[in-house]
Amino acid sequence: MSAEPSDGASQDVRAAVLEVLQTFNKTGVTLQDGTRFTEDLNFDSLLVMEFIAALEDRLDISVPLNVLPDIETVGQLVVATEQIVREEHG
Amino acid sequence: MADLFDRFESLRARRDGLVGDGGHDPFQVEMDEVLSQTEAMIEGRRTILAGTNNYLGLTFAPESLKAAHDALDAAGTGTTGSRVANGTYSGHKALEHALCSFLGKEHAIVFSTGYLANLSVLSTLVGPDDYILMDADCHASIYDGVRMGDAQIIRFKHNDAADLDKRLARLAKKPGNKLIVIEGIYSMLGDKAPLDEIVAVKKKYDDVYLLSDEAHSLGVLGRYGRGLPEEVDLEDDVDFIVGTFSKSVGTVGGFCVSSHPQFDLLRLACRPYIFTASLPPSVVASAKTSLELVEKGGALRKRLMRNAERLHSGLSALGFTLGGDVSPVVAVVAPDVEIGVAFWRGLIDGGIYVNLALPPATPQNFTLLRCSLCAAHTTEQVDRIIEVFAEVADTLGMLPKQPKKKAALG
Repeated sequence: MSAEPSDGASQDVRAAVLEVLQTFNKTGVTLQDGTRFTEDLNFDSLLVMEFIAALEDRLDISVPLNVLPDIETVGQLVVATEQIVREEHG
Repeated sequence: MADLFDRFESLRARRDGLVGDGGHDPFQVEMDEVLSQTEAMIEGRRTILAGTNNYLGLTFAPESLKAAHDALDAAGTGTTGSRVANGTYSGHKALEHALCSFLGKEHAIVFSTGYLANLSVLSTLVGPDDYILMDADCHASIYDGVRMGDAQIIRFKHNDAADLDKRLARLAKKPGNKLIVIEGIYSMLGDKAPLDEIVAVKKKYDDVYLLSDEAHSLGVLGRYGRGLPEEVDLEDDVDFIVGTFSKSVGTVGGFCVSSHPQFDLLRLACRPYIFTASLPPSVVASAKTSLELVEKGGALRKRLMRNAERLHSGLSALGFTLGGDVSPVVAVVAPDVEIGVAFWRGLIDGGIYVNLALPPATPQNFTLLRCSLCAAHTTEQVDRIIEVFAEVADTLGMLPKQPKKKAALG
């Protein structure tokens, strides 16, 4: 992954986030950057934990719990995840 | 008009759903009278207590009662102060010395509850540049403690040392200390941490410390009751042990022990230590006496494990799905919340109290009928618990499968 240009890696991360999130999408809303976890996807604390664990598995990263309170939308999660992938996989 | 309590609407709806047609609220059980370590009157009915975490049954130990009475008469009903102000009596220091000598560590700090011990240590020990690697099934007090602090919080998969290894490897190049947080016995399912594997992973990396919460294993595991580290002979590899007096020790309070030379500095840094009142003298005295009984409690541990094996094999033979290994926590997995609640009601009507545990407080979204055994349970009481479980399952038409011919032990 580190050999790929950053744009490509970035696309990969976005696609992975959306792919994992889709399996947790019970409300059936179309996933966009502005989609909100609580209001649009009805995520509760338990589902957030399960989703994050699945995302960690998919991308082989650790998502610190500290980042979660600041993430309200899918777009914010993509940005945060991209940063973690950059840090952890160089 | 928005009401202040509107935000609890989902909680209210869930509670009303549970309590339903005027039945008992599983989370507001009232013991009218406590008859012994293993029995109480609940709603006018003599009830076997099988969900108290009173593993060794020391709540009525004559020596501890006497110590508590003496301290009460000598030093009064309370300290009316924090440990750092007027709330440290000779008893508190004596209890800390007793913990050091019992657990073989250089330093000990006593806190007012086990919950506060975790809040104190986990919010303070690690800073903004450090990392906490916690088992995903850790207790709420651990989650709350790490959230109160500034460290980066990373969860690893429950009891999965390989997953921990992977996460530590990614952090290896990052500066900062890493603190692994596990529990000796996990409270909901009663399963033990694979301490040998976790210690082996810990040793692969620099600047990694290990903290084990022995809340449910102190008094239960190890020849002298020092918990999981004693049982697997890895006591020197655990840097910090947190524990509680409200389970095997039979009263209330919490502690942390460590041989780190600077450990005492936590007394000046932990807000849940500084800004809360200290334990009353009677509690401190009974804790210290009960600790001695824990250490000498080999016979109690044998009885406890015999009871645990009997309940585990009995329920297993009936076809119930159980959550973990044989341990003093025996968790029966209910198919869903509705059946779990009905089952819990059937048990209480049949004179058996167990804990009803619901998501999100449970691993894997389980609905659990969580039993905890006591060394003081008689064989007849354990058999009665199994019998009522069978009756209720029968009434609800949910005996999961045909009973096996004979209980297979272990």
